[in-house]
Amino acid sequence: MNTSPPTDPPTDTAETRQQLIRLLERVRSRHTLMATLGGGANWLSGLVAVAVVLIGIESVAYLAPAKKTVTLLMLGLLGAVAAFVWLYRPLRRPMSLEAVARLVESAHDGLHQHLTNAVQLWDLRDAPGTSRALVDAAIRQAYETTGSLDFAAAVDTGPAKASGRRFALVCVVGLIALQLYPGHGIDALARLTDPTGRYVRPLETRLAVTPGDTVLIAGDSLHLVAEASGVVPLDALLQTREEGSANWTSIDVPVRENRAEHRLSSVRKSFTYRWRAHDATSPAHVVIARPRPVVLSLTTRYRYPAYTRLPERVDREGGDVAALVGTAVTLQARANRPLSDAWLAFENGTRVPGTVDGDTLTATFNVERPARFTIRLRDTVGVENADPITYRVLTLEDAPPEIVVLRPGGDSELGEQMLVPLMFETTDDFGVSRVEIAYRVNQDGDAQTHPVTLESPGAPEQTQGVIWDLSGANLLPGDQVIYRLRAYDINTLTGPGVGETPEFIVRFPSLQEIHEAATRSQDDTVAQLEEVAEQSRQLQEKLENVAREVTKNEEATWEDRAEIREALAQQEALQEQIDEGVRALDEARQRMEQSGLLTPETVEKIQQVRSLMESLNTPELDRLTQDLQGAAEEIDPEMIQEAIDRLTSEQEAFQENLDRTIALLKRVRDEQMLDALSARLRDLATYQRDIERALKDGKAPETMAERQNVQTRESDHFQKALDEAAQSIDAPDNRLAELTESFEKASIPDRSDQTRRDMRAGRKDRSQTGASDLADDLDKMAGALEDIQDAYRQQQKDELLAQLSGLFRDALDLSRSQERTAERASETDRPADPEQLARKQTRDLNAAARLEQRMTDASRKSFLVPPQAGNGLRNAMEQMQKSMGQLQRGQQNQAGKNAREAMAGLNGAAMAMRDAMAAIRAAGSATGLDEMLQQLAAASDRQGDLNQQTEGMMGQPQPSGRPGSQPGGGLPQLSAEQEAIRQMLNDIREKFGAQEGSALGDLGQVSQDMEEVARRLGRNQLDAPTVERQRRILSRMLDAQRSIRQRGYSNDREARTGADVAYRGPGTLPSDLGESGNPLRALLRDALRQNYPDEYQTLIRRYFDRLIEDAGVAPSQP
Amino acid sequence: MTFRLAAVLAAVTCLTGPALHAQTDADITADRADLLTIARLKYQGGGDWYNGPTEIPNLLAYIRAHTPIRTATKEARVEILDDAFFSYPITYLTGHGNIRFSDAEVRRLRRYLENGGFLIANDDYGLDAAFRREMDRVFPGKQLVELPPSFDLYRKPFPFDALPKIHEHDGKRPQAFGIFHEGRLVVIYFYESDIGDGWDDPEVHGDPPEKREAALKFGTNTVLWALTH
Repeated sequence: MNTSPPTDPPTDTAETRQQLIRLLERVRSRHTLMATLGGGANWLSGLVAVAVVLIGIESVAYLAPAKKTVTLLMLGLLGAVAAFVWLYRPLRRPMSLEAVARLVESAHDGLHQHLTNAVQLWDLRDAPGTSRALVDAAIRQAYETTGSLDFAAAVDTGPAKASGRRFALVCVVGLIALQLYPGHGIDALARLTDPTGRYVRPLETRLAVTPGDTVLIAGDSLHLVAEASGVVPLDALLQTREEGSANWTSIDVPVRENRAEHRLSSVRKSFTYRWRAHDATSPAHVVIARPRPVVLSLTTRYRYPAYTRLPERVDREGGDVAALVGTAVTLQARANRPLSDAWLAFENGTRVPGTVDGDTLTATFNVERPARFTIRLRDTVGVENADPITYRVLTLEDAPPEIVVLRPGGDSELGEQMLVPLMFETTDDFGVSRVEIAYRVNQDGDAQTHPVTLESPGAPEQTQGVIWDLSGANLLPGDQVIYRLRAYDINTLTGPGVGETPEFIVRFPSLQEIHEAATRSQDDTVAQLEEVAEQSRQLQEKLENVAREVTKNEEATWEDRAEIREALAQQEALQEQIDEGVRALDEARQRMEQSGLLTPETVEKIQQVRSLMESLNTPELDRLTQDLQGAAEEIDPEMIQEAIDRLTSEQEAFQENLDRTIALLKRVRDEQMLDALSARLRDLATYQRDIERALKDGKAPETMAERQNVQTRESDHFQKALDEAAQSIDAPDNRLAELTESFEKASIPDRSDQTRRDMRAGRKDRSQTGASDLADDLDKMAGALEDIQDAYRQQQKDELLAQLSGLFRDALDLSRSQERTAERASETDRPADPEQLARKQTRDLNAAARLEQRMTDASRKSFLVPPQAGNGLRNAMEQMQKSMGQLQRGQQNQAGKNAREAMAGLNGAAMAMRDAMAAIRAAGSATGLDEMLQQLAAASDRQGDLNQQTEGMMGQPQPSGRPGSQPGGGLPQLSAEQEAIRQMLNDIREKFGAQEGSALGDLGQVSQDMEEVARRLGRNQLDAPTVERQRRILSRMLDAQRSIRQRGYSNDREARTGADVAYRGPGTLPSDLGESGNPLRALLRDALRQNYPDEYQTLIRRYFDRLIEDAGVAPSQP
Repeated sequence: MTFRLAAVLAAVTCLTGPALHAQTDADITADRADLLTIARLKYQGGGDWYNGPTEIPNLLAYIRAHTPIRTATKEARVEILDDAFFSYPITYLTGHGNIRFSDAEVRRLRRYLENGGFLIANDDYGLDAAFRREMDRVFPGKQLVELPPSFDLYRKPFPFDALPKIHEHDGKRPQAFGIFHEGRLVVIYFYESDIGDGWDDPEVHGDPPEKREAALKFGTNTVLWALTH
């Protein structure tokens, strides 16, 4: 700025002055500027200083918002004043020019107020009294005086500069202060800028916490650290608070090297924590414990292998898996949180992936072997379950089936039919698919199997019978079939499991063996019965002795009662022995019957003997035994006496029957021996013929040698047996002995052995010739033995008939004698001598007693002569006895009457003998059963015819009261026929009723029905009820025949509702549906297959149809 | 005129009735020709062919109640040589005793069976030998083959695992035999079962209800088989 006046003053004072004024104004501006700058610097310095001070105060004091606000407001006001003073006022009120002039004059010596004058005088220039010129001169002078002066120098810049320096100083100081407390200062400044904000004074101790807020997996450990600064205390407090809780739990933690550390192991739950140390409390931090996925529930679903047919099983408490191999196991695990992935991890490294649905895992695996596995889960945030439970997979074994042979359940023998009836029971956990018989013939034979068709394949338990036919096994007598039953289960996955029975042997015994064993058994039975008979006699004697003692002593002593008890025990033992005998007899019969050693007649006889033996133990005997037992406990001797009498009386009958049984059994035994010999010889012949045929058919002789060897052995045995039989059996005309001689002469065993050697040597022709000759001879001898059998039976029959004939005659003679006695006793004209008559009666009585004995003997030879046949005779004897007594007492009339009664009884006995003879003559077997059946059949036939006639007359008009007016005789004739049939039936019942018991007893009602029908028909009353009644009659008669025949073989049968029986037949129909059996049809099919033209085929078909038809109407076999 | 009108009306009723109406009591008691019945075969030989008079009526009633088949209430009775013999698609033979067919009967029975007839035979005990003998005459060479439970007759409409055993007889297992002609079952023979007695009124034999039910069901199966094959 140029503030110096120009050197040449203007000519115009005004101008000069103006220039001066401008100069002064410039000085004034400079001055104002300096003042402003200086003021500004001061203001700023003050501001900075105040700020520094304030910051300092704030740093220390943490002023409350109110204080801060007031302070700031005051400072602001102060600042405003300062700004007014230092900034505004210099500008607003600049220095006057006069002051400026004086400032300049003060800066420059020598001016002497020239400038002031110049400024002041100007205003007075025009004032009165003021010299203008003077004024001008002063102005000029001032101008001139100051012309060279630097007006600017008049302005003192020092204060401004000083202010500037102070400002700089203050700034520097402030900066330094800030540098010294960088945080504090800034913080304080920050707080000051927020005068309303409340700020807390910083603590002495500062804590730095790690990890602060964090997330971890439940179960993980957590390391908490607090680093202290400032005032570091010796220990710190770790405070935790569980979610939802308001209380903190504190843990003292020592502070070492400014660090407080604490480790929380296995954090399970989320919590909040904070540290406290000295005056510091850290902020609360949140630790989130994120749970690992775990299995909450486990469901195991078992789908068993199809073969087990087990239903699915669901185990809702799933865990370890225990299942059959092949079972599909589906695990369904529900986790505690949503899953992203899951799998089953097996210990062998196998991983079975599962499917995940929300929080549920489903995984399936097949049980193959024992294993262990864990269920692995991964949740949606990637956390896996830790330490999962190890589950086990246990494999259950499909146990092999068990099979037990129920029948025979041991070693057995083959019967004639070569059939082995087997009953077995199989059990398996799931089912048996098949059963087979594994067998071999003899120890060294090849292993073979025979399948068994199961009735219920696949059933877990079944009991089944099977008939194993060994007829095709070419067994030879003496061969053994070693077999076992083998069952296979239905396990198609790991099986089949196999179960086996132990080995059993079924032996093909020779007939000789069977015969010998059975004979022995029967001998034993006979011996046993004889012993029983003897014991029974002794027992009877003992009881009679006791009875006498009781009578004599008029009281039963303790010894008597003991005797009775002992006797009764013996009686029971006897009865048991008889039962045993029955069983032994049954067994022997069955064995021989199975082997075909017995003819039906002999079987029938044995059956009768068996019945007799059974009937020995009568209920009456039991009852009386019990009565005596009861009486023995009583004191009353009369009761004991009475009971003993009754029992001994029954024992007599028992004894009699027992004797008869033994006698019959012995007779049967002989017949049985003949039967067996005949069967064995027939078998020998048949086998020999088979061998011959086999050779003829080209079979190698060597292969037949073993069979021939058996023949040799058997024929040798047979020869011995025949020899023994010839000695013991009294065959007619000594024919058995002759046959024995023939057999020996024929040298059958030797020739058989020679033939065997020829076979073994491969000599075909000689073998064949030898076998053929042997077969012929054996055939002949078998025929001869069968003839002897028949002759023997006939001989027995004849003997019996002769015996019965004699009995018949003698009974009639006695009857006539009684008739005479009766007549003589009744004669009034010539009264007989009573004594003489009595003697005669005595003789007759003795004769009757002998007759009774003979009848008893006869009854021991045939079942057709029942002991009851002697009832008439016994009655007669009783009457004769009475008659004798009456004669002795002179009561002749009464004696005559009794003699007549005796005559009737004798007549009855004679009739019984006659009937028995008639029955024996008619009976094929002389035993009676067939005879009875034949008679019943004949009666049924007549009833059938009668029924047809009756039905034929139904609806036809019946001329009442005119019998015989209809063809065939009309209803009265039918009535008579019905009555005749009734009589016939009654005769049958009378004759056989005692033997067949209830079966014929059932016919009693039939007889009544017949009577009713006869009555109705006799009254010409033919209606539907009559016809129905006739039909019922016939049905019952037919049924009775069946029942009786059946009862002959089984005493157990009764008509009753049948129990369900499982199907045991073939599983399927035969492929030919049974239609191919007719050879004509087979030929027809063959012919039709020849592709003849249609018309020929028609003719062929007609031809064969006719042939078939003709064949069909061939007379049927009865 | 009145008679003619009545006859026409009756004929119309007979022809349309079955199609228009369900079977009513009135219908079934009428035993009309359009109702199924089973003919009891009268035979010679002495056997009681008439045995069990309530068997067939009961079986017919059961069929009527359990199937849509319209059956009569009574049995028919027929001899092989009767003119009406061929009118009955199903015949029933039972009894205890002997059977004897004449040559003419043998021929006619065979023709009947070969041409669609069906014979149900029931051994009431004692019939077996005679029946087999006579059947051998009717169909020489054809065998009575045992019908296994796999045979469809056992299945429909009532399933069976085995032939019911109604009466014990000889205690043997019950068997159903059949004779086939050109693949068709023409004779069924019940042996050791006495299924016929199971059809009788309950008081006749005192059989338990379940036995009777089983017998009637199997009888129904048999009749249905005969009608549909």
